Amino acid sequence: MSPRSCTVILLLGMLAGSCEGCRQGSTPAHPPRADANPAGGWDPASVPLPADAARWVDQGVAEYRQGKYLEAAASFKQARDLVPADPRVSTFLGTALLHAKRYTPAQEEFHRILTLHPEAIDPRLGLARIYIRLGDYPSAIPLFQEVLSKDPNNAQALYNLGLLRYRTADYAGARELLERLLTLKADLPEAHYTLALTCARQGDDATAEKELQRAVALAPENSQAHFQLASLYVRKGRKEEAEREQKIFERLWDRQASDRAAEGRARELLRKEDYAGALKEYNRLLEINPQSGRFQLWKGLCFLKLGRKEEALPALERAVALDPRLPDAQFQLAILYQERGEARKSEEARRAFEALEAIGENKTGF
Amino acid sequence: MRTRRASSFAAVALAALAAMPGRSVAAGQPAALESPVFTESAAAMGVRFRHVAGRTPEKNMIETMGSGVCFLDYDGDGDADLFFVQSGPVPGASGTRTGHVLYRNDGKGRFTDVSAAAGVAGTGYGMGCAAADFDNDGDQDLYVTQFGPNLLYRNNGNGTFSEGGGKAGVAYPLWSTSAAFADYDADGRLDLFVANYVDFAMNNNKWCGDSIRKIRAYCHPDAYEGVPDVLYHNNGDGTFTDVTKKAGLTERWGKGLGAVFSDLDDDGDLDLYVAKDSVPNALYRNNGNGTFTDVTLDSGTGYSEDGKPEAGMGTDAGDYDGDGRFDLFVVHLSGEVNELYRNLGGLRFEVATYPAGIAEVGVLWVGFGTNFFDYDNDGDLDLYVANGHIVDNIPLFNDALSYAQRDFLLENTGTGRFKDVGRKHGAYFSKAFVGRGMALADIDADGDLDVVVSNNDQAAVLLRNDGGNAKHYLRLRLRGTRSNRDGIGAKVIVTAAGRKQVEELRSGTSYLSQNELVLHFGLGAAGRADQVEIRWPSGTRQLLRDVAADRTISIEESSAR
Repeated sequence: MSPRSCTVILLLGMLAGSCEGCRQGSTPAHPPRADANPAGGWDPASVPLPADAARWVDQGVAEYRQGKYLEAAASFKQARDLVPADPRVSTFLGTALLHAKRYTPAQEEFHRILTLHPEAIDPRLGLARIYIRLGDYPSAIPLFQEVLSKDPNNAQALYNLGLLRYRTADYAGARELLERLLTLKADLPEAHYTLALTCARQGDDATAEKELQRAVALAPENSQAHFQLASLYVRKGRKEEAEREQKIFERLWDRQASDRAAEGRARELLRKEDYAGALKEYNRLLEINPQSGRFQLWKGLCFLKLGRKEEALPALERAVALDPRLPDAQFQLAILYQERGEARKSEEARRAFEALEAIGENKTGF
Repeated sequence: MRTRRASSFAAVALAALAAMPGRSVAAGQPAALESPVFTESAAAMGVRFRHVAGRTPEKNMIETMGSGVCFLDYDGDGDADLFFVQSGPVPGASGTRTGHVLYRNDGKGRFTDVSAAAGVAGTGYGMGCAAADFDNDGDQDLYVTQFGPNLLYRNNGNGTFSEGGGKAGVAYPLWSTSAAFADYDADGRLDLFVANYVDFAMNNNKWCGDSIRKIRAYCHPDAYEGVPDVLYHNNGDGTFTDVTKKAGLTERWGKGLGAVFSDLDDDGDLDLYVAKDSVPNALYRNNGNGTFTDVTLDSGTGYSEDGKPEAGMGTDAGDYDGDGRFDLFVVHLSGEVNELYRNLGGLRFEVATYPAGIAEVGVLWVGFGTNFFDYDNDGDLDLYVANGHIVDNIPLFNDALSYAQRDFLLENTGTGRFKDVGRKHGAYFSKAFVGRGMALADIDADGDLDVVVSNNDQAAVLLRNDGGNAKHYLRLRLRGTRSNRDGIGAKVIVTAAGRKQVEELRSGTSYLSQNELVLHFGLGAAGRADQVEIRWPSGTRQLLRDVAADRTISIEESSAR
């Protein structure tokens, strides 16, 4: 099996949910799983793509994962033209256009495929994501509701509808959805976080605190949860705890800010596809901040771009050791382990990726 | 006066309706107009200012900033004169610099360009302005921030100004943005805060944009280091001393764009809030002894609800929920939301953006100039936001965004929520401009607040409010005696028909701009104010009872405390 095919199968086969929340991640976002929900009537295992379409999808996925969304959209469009009724390919195309911020053609593609497959879930989720980005909550809400009517346990829909309920001040509605989600997936820090905000708005600071602590336990490096905990403690007059959380928040924020600032040169080299240059730069950055999982991730990705897989593997392993919440690292590790025949490790990485990508890594929605 | 305006409004509204016979209002079409109507009147009123950004293919960051606009009464005749800051061409580029422009108001809203006679055309690439009688000599002076040394125009009292920023010690040499006068130490003299931006220089202009597609774009402020803000203490002899460190303004990020002094904790002294671009905003508590303490984190006003710094541009303070405390509003970049921080007391705030219904309104817009104001005199504070993107080729990067954007008029529904109603109140709100500085004044002295917007590289817009005076109002002009002469920093509480409103006289606010130094209260159906309480910066409290509405009254600070 070629690595490229392996990537496509991994993508098609895993529950790589996508939520509005990838803006902060400078690593490329992930194409959602093509519609494998029984309610959508598609089973990717039983309906393989024709070879020529699969090749275009393959190329599109590769471009997508490099953050080349316009190029990926062009490749997916080639595939879509070959299989115009395949919702998986349309979802890839729409999602790539969404990430390229080409919202008009993205909407058109999602609408088109939904007229052919009115029951399909992923195009509906893609469309809802666009509406969130455009600030059109009234259009997004019914789409998530429709998804939940077809798939009541859909994590993306539960989370995003909960988030929109929160944002539209329907706190009871938000709480019900988020609590439901957490009974299904108890390890989603974003859901605990948003539930905490909701509880705080309801005046239930005790539950808010508990949920924030759970979010922090699941994602210690998540500055938002520390920020909220600090705010809660200030509100409750618990000065020492507030100061402790403020310090953690400031440390995390400072580190993120300094990493971002330091990373500018490396990012520019990546944009120019100078992977050797970027690798050198990330090595330099790692000398300054050896604890940065993010730098390790990019070091590993540079190795991959240079075809140096044996060196990529330890870099990516080091990345997830430093920060287990790096979906790209887990994703690449799943592929690398699969190629090496290490099925158990691949499966673990795949599951970690799934968990991270189930709803996305933050709640801002942009 | 009210009758005349009401009639003129009726005529405008009827004309607007007549122009659309039988047409239903579909989504995206301008709605039938409601009272009041904002009429674009710059040219008709004699204002022909056109901002020059001096845009170049090199995409120098300064070209994105636009400029500020200030209302002041430079000739002391009681009406709002108008000063526009000019910018381009960029330093080193060819082209004629037209200079800053001062317009004299004839009292009826007719403006005459008096820049040459007044001597305020200036030099350099201008940014913002603030106006106040810093030397307490009875006339309003002007401070102009620039990309380069800032200018202080001292009013000579005879229609002319003399520039003396260097001599006064306030000619900050780098890149300044907003400025605000306030007497932070209550010594009766106006001090000066200057927000500074980043360390961009013409010789360190970076290439930003999409290198794969070879599309150059204006840089994000992350591309440059911030430059710290400055606080100048007024020495009382025409000079100032930089007291930034001594006063405790030690925030390290720079990148300030908007600033507002306000007594946010109601303890009688002026706290300072600074909106910052892509780094945490700063809130400084005035300790009452000439120093400040950074309370940003405890206050919750430095970040979004999620603890993320946003691209803060313009800002203002106002009591939108009628609880007697000044809340904060900060406008932001597209993809973020314009944040409303509700004041809970004790310098603690909660993010009220989503509950107030203003989050999704701003997602695709970039806000700059902004002010709380009661445009319809109904007794609560509405909001104006001047919008316009920073990146002139933004559609190449995002097809949902445009460079020119329409402005927002956000109506306070009285329930803690706001509603975007601009398009119901004038054709202007369906048009797109590149809004930047924005300020308020009753330019035609008819009892409602008019709006001026300085648009980047475009003609300025003057929106005459017609019909905003259908309800009652009361306007207050203050004159300090023990306090600074303009009464800046005075808090006024008006009680009418059982309702209390609080406002504060401020220099600065919005983005690079300043409103007229007159406080405007909409009184709704109340024809009188039961009580007007003035809390002067000196600590003096003054009470007026049973004050008739629909007029501007001048109040001098009493000698008795």
